[in-house]
Amino acid sequence: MTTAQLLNSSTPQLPDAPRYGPVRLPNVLQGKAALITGGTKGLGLAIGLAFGREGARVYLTHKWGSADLDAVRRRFAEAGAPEPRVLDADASSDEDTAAVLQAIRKEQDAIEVFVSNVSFAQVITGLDMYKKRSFLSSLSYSAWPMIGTMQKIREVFGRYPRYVLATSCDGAETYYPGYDFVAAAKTVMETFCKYLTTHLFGQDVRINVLRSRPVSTESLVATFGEGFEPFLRRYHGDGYFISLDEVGDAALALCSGLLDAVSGQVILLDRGVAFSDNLMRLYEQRERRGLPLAADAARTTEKSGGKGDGDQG
Amino acid sequence: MRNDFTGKAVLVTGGTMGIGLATGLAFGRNGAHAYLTHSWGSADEADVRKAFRDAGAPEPAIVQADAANDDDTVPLIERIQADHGALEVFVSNVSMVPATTGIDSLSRRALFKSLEYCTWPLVSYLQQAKKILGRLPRYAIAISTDGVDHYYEGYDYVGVSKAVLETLCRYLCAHLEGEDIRINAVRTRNVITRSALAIHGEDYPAFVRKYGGEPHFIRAEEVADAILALCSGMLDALSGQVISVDRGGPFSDSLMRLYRHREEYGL
Repeated sequence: MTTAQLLNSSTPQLPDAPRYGPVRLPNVLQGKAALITGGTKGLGLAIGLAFGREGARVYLTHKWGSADLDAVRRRFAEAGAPEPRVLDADASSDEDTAAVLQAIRKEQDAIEVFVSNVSFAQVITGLDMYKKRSFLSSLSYSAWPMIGTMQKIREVFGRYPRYVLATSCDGAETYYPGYDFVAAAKTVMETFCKYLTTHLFGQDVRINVLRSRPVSTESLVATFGEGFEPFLRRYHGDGYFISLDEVGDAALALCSGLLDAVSGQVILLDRGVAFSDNLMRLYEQRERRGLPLAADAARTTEKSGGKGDGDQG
Repeated sequence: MRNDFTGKAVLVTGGTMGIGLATGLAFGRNGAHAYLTHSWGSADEADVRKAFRDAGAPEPAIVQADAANDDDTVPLIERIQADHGALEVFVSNVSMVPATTGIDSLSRRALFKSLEYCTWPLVSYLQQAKKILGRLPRYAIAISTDGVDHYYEGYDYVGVSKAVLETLCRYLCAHLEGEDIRINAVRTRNVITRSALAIHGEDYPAFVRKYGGEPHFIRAEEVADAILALCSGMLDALSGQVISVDRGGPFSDSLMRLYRHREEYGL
């Protein structure tokens, strides 16, 4: 008998154990209201679908009327989720926010989850493009709605949502071309997340920020151009990207009741990729990625007796 | 997508008390077969088994194993191999350090001992799992503390060894990119367990209660639920991160906060 068999003989075998099913979520979202701004596309839609799958009553706002609402409803139906309410609102407008909340108030006594997802800022290509007006406008769209909407929810419903989640990116710590004002606005929002948590310490409210690295969405193309995504796939691989469903699931986890002691945190959803996204990694993988040095080429030439261009990629 | 833990193996070092026990129970409640290690011989096995029964969880395997000793790790993983053929979750929870009282109390020997118990088991267990089971667990969680960034009396070795643990989490994650494993650290604070009282002193909870308040404590069950969430399938894109389970308390734990509440606290 091997050691393992010996040990095994003393282990009680599990007799036809009952199936427990998927991990149970302490916070049952069935029938509870979830408000997601910028919820008809990309991240917002994915988050809305994740809550919808749990039976939540999902309210999605959007601004430009550019969303194909039939397609949004179809996505919810396919997910087995209750039909979402879609409301027109400009996230930077206090009047629009008030109107959205009044509309929800007619159907709901409370908002369980508020996801502040809208982000809108000018793409910056150089220092000359810095203009105070457009900077403040970025804050109005990408930072203030988290706070302004929380205040208004308190006013209309008599209490804050139990879960506040704001979407962000790691642009505050890592350079993304053109991203100056987005990064600045997200920094403001992330700092407020910590201060608001302190103000509401001990109350039944959690406020967190979910940062994601590039997710393949329309707004990624709008910000960085068509070539960005293929470039990342070539020099990092498919693991660089986070899928929309993964962001939706992470948002759900933060409101699931399992993470109720997590508040005031900025959580990065990136598979750990940001840690190794640097020249050192590319240097290590230079042959595989087709980034040889002249010295590599010379060595290869020597080895192969004067032939070859050194590009092993 | 959410995982179904029915019949899956979850290994928690230091799993018969405090955060480790609560973690074992959180997975057990969802059908996992928990392997709980202990080394002090202080575990009351009957109590642990009863807690699992009461929670409707499968009976756990309680194993004496010194987390710093490969001679104990190997038969434990071989047993998991024989029982299940795979390990779904590994929680590196054991922490054992000498208390410190100032610079003169520090010694290299004690530092290495702390690293052996608090830090290295994450690496050695993963290595053994890969060797014996042929593959890594799908989730690895390292229990850390906000003592990495904040001063706690007597906590030097914990702070240092957990800082190394968190750094290794990030490096392991980079090495294992593309493999079906997520490695994260969970930081917490003010979880009142026996080992916390041993380090901080018996009066610390009363002091925190008086000058901070109840929300400054984190229950072991809250940490356990957070660990379950990290392994639930809902956070599969999260790796190489340090997640704080602390209600955001450390951000305002300062003299400035006490100053603001000085009248209320009679200061």
